[in-house]
Amino acid sequence: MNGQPFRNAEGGIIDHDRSLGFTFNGRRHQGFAGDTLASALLASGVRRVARSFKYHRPRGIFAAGEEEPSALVQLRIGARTEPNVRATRVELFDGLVANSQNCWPSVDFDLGAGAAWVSRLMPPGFYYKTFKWPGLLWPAYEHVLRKLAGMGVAPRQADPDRYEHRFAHCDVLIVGGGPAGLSAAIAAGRAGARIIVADDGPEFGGSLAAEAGPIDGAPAREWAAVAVAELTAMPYVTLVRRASVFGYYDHNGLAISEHVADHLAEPLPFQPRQRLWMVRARQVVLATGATERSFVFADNDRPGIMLASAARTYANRFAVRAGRRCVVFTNNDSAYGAAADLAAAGIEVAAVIDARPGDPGPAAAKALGTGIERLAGHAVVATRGGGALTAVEVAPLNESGDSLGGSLRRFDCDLLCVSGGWNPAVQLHAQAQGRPVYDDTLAAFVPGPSVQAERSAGSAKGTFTLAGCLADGMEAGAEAARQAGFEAAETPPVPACEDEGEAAPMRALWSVPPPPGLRRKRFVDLQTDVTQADVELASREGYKSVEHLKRYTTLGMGTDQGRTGNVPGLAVLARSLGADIPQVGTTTFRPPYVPVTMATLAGREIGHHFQPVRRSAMHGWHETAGAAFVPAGLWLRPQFYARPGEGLWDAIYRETVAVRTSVGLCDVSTLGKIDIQGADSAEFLNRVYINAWSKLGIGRCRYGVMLREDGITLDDGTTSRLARNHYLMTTTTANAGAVMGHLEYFLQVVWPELDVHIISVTEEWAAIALAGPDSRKVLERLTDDIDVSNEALPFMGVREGTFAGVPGRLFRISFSGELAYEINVPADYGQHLWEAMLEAGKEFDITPYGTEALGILRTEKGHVVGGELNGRTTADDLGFGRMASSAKEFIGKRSLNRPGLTDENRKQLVGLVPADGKTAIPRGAQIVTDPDQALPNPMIGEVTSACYSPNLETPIGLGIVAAGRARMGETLYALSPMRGKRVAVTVTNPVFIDPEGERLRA
Amino acid sequence: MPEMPQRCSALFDAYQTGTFGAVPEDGPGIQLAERRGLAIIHLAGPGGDENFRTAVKGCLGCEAPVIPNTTATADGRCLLWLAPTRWLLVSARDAPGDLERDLSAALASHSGAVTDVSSGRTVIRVTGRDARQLLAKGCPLDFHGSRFKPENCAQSILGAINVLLHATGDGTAIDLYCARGFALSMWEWLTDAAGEFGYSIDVAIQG
Amino acid sequence: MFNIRCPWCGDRPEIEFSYGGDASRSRPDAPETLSDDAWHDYVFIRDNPAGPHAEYWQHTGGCRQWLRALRNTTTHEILATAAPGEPLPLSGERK
Ligand SMILES: [Zn+2]
Repeated sequence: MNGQPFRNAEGGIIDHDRSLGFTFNGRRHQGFAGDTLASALLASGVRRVARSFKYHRPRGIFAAGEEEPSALVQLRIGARTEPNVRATRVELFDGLVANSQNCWPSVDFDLGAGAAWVSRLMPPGFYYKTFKWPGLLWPAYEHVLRKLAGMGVAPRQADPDRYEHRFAHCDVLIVGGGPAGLSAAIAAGRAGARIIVADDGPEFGGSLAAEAGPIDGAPAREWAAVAVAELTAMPYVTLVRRASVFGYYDHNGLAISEHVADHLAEPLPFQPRQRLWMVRARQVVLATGATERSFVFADNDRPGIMLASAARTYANRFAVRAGRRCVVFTNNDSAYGAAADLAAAGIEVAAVIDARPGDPGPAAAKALGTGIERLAGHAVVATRGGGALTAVEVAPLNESGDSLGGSLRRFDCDLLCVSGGWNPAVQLHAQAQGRPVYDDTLAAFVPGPSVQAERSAGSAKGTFTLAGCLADGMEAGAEAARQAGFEAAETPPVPACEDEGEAAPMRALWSVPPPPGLRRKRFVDLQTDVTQADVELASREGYKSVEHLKRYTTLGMGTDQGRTGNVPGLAVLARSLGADIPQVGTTTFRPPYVPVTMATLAGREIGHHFQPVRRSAMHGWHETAGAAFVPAGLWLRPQFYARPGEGLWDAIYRETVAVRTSVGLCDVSTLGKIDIQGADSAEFLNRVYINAWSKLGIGRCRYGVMLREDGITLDDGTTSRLARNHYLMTTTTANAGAVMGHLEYFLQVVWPELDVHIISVTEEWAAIALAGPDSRKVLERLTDDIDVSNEALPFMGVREGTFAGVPGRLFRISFSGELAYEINVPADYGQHLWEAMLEAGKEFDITPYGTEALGILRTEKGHVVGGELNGRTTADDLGFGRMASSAKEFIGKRSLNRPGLTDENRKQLVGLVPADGKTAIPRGAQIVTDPDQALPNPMIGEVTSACYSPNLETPIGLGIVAAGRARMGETLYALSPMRGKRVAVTVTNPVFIDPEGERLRA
Repeated sequence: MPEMPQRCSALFDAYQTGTFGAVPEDGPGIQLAERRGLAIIHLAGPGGDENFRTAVKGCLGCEAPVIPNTTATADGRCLLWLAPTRWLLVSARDAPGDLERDLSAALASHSGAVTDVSSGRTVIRVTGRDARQLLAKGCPLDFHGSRFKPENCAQSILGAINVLLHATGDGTAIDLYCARGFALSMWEWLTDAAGEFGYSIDVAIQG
Repeated sequence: MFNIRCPWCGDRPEIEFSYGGDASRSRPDAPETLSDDAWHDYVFIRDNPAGPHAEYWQHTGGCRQWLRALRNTTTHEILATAAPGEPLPLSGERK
């Protein structure tokens, strides 16, 4: 046992026969299975565990649970390293490696600590005050400060582990598996409710494991084991261990982080390290327990100062003596039991310092017995020690608690157990919009009226006796079950517990005045190094709202969210303002209640699972052909197909020219396709498009433009009439979803009387554009049941037939302005058709082309896409004004006569060419009349599309320019000051190629 | 005229049978298999109209269910509720074109629409003792046996992909229908998420 | 993370729905007969109540039906939902 000088040979609930080796700050130590890193460090006699955040003061282990503010370590090394881990929450495993944080070069010798200038540099708001000016020097300050400040380091490598999500549903979610939580689970479970019980420890039982008295005459942990066994046997009960409920959201949605494999050196194959549960619970029982708190006194942060309940836990659960000789400082009865347990574990209890002038309750007095000195009406006023505690100074406290009487008395000790009262864990209740209320008797906030379907039970609601917690839990569980619909739920009988008698009232004491002349730091919040003086200074500087105080001083902003420091901080602020604590109130409680890793929140949504990808039926071919892909919404589209040795532009140029001179094919499956059927289909089209549809013949298609209700263009595309009451609408790729929702809105909400049925068939059809002067010759080789001659199938004709053996549809439409077709076949045959088309077009050197070539071709033809359909342009702006029918109503028509939409100075679509015939037009550039005019130079338009035209052998562009159609031939300037570009441009017709449309009608 | 080629599944390239992941001693917790060659027809019409439903039943031998999120199966054909006026007809024994034509003819005198979407949907069958646990990783539905019952269907989200789920037979096999374009992403999601339970990819089911 | 009760599919999480705007007014039957001011009101003017608010939602991740929901904008409580054309309970409107 030499390696563990503070470990008792027996006792606790650890496995004394299973020794585990671990390394802390490079030194090897031993612990036992069942230890936490904190208990193992204490057993080994390691007292200084970390340095504090701001002042680099040595800190030890302060707590035994999730409330730990000080003992934050860097856990593991390499890719799995994790900063800011509470040593009290780390289950020991063999080979564990941990290191101290916030210290350089080491925890025992730290350059940042002790240097007085550090402390002077860091009053509250010090970043605001000290380093605000001059801003240019900030990088220099930062370089120094980063070394001294900060909270551990993030790993540099990618996280190798898996993180899972899961949704869950239950009738009753019980948060916490201590006495109240297990009782609630028993009650709800016996009623037949579907329940989830989440506990943050490796085993259920909470304080029943070691701290609580006997139940039904047997150790409490045996009662817990029986309860867990009963719950495990219930089919509708899910018990989740190592699971922290960290967020309580709307409609009883709660989030849990389950630490599936954090207690292992590394997860098993395919095992997630952590799992995020998103639970929807009809009812919730919050059995989250309570957190003990400390007092504010001089040097109250030394290693060796610990919550009384924590020292008790180390003794009872881990058989660890947290010190050799201890002093207990309390203002309530709970520390007496702790003192007794410490004495029983072999720690010399030098004295119990009770701030209350009177006697403790009978049970507390009995527990303490007669062998231990007790000083009533006294307080610990200061501590001594170098790296760790060596003595405390004690003095009598006056009635109001603001001054000391009599002389100081010193007690040598290496452990000071503090108990300043208990804070019920109201955080989740408050996240659920409950308003905690201040209880004077407990000097703590307790749950107020619930807003959501939740109730608190046990010490979470301020019930601190074992019998009370069990009864509370039983009642809360039964009530929750009844509320969830299990009306017959009964409250089970409460097992027999020892009579704890009436506790003596606590004394609300927050802060102990320092001995005269002693100017030492008196900490309110150990994690963020906020002192009483900081809070008082902030209040004098006008930070009177608790929310402002929090942000100015950083009180409660650490990873522990002020679990131990917040309420004392409020009390100090209240006193400084001459107000009551309820008047000051609490800060808003927000998720997460405990730290959650980013990886857990991300879950599977990383790497190529970040978001789903939509692939066309020909995707595999594109990949094999070496296409570069570009995202279009969630779709991946081929951007260009570079041949070996070809550059990006070479490929795009070649593909573009091929379409103009021979033939190309392009995967256009991503365009939205909506099947429209029903007797009122034509009427429906009339109402959603600006142009008229009644006279469109079967086997014909037409270009249409649709507006939003405010008169702005929503989308465009062609719609074909396949049969008398059967149409196929196409939309742009980007707007397919929005158009579908828009049409469904009008059919379901506005015009339910129309006999029209629509369904998206985007995914059903693979769509291939075949474009170029040779396209008809290729088509002739693909189909033998359609006459594709110009006479039989003119421009905007539609036919059904067979293509390479596959039944499909043929549309004679053109986006490029060339003679062109689009073939649709069921997607399962898409790749077959694509390959057949390549084969059929071989002799014409058929060329697959991607979105880059497509974009150039359409720009040459003056077709509008997203840059022009930008949510600000009307149909008239884009040159479609004359399409709008005056003979019918359509969506958006009523807005067209609004003055803003008829203004003759509106920006209109125009073509742009460089005045010198060769300078590229910068995409997105602003258009001005006089580039040299004083700023701000009025911008009369912008470049919406720009490219080099391989066919015209000049740069071209499209733009929207104020009164642009009246400016043909005018010279304007495209300015892009961020890129230092300035190009004189001439305004032209936006259709650069074949404005008469002879090619596409050929 | 060339012969009609084989239909090609969106998962064709990725599909590899075998056993993967952390397989426990009692075998993989998940079995995955694609259902191929199905006729899948979208049917729209007035669900509240007795005559319409009679015509549907007369043609298919199978009712168009009016209770949301339920299905009706008869004679190898299944109608899944999608919306008050929409159903998905799935048949393992019909050719898509034939079924579309027959149903259209049967409903010619009714308001309604029959649309072949056989190519536009990919169907993946998930079975095994952990099937519902797997789906709960990415789908917010309540998969408890009392809530998602045999022959129930539901439309929801899996991962970030819209999905139609169908608890077939006694509810142990759940068929997932997703848009073809998302099929590979959904497959990758499923096979990654199933690793924890151990899973097998079985030979694709014809029909 | 709130739930919306789809009139057909039942309680479903918000992530399955798309917001569709103010539902406290319906589209005028004959926009062409409206004054400019009345049309402007319909298209552009919205209340921003702190409290119950009638809203359109579409169950895009489900049955694709549009519905109306009465949502308390300060608490996210969904007080009622209804199919289009059905009265929205608690909203004070009459059929
Ligand atoms: Zn729905």
